[in-house]
Amino acid sequence: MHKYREKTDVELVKLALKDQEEFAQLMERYEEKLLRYIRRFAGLSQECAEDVLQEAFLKIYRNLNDFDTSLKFSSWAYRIVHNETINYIRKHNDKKTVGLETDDPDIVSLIDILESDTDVSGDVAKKELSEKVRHVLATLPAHYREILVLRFLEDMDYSEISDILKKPMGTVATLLNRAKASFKQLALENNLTL
Amino acid sequence: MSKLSKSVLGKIKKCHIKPKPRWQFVALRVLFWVLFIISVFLGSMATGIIMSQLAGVEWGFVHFVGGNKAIGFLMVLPYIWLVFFGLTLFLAHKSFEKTKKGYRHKSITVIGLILVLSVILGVVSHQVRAAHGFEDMLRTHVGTYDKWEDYREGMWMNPENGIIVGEIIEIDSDTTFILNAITGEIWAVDTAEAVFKGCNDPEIGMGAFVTGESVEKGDFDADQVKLIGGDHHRSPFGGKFERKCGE
Repeated sequence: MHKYREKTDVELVKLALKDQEEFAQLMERYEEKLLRYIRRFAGLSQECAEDVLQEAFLKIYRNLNDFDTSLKFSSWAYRIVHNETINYIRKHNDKKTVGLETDDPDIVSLIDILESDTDVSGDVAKKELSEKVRHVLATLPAHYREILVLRFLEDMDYSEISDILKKPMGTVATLLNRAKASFKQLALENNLTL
Repeated sequence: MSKLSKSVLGKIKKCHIKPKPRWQFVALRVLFWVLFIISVFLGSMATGIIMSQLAGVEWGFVHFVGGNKAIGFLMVLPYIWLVFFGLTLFLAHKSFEKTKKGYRHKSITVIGLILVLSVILGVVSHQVRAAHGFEDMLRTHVGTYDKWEDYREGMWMNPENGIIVGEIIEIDSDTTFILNAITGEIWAVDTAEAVFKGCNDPEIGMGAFVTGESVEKGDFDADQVKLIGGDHHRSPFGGKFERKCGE
């Protein structure tokens, strides 16, 4: 296993093209990140997110020859996962997506993950405030929520987001500003001081 | 190895899934570039034809076509080509967007560049008469288009509104010529009291816009005559008249 840690994504792609067993290395490298992204973005349960990711990995494998080495593999993989997640949501018509304010123990909501990974939980220590943040994020439109997730939780730069969403960087910046403004507006309406 | 990775790998093996060959992706990318180039080419042809058709319109006479200038102007616009140009613009934009890194550019920039490119190429195609050739080919091979253009030309033939257009086929006297109208009717045009716009020397083979009054069937008293024809005139009458004014 250790030998794979040194290898770049491009090298792993080349290996996977030669031997399908090697594709497992790429999956191992990205599984956790991509699962987290799906759950943060779409608020899917662990089980549903895994279904989406499984399909996405199969798609990634089928399209390995389409990977453009001038891009980051991660951006390319996120792009495929993004599409697969949207397809899943459309197909299931939100049946398995959850409101972020849900208390269903089987479902980890987006805000739970957000809180566990960001300073939001530190800033909003009190449970009451935490609930409000949760509500605010849950009510954000999906495209705003996604761009906030990519920028602030996945810590991606504009260029990577542009490659994932297939939008020009200027549009990404605009969308991000709108998402932030929308979040702040909703926060105000919910008497939330951040 | 995680459960998920095992499951994916298992499915890959079980279903004999293989990565699609690289050539398929390359072919797809090439296809989008080809579509883009074809769209820009057709767009520039459309622009060239629009320019030719607009250049061929006798703007001083359009009020005879529609009753007033505004309606006349709207009636003579080459709508088919404007719509076609819009479609090529859309197709070129969509094809470009689907190229490898097309998404990185703003739609407004891409559309602007395609527009500029189409206009430049359109001017060139108009100048070198490639657009004319393209349109002639359409008129020869696409009956519906030919009929449509005949209809558009026919709009200029409106004796009730005081305008007739056609080719001079005979010079009867110093003040009368015989006009074979674009609708096929023969008119004797009396130019005794007419003002000639541009050149004033009608000759057989020239085209003529004549305004005035239809005195009886086949006779027309002209008050204005504009002799037309030659290379710079295109639709609605381009290529119909062999002689250029002043030749």
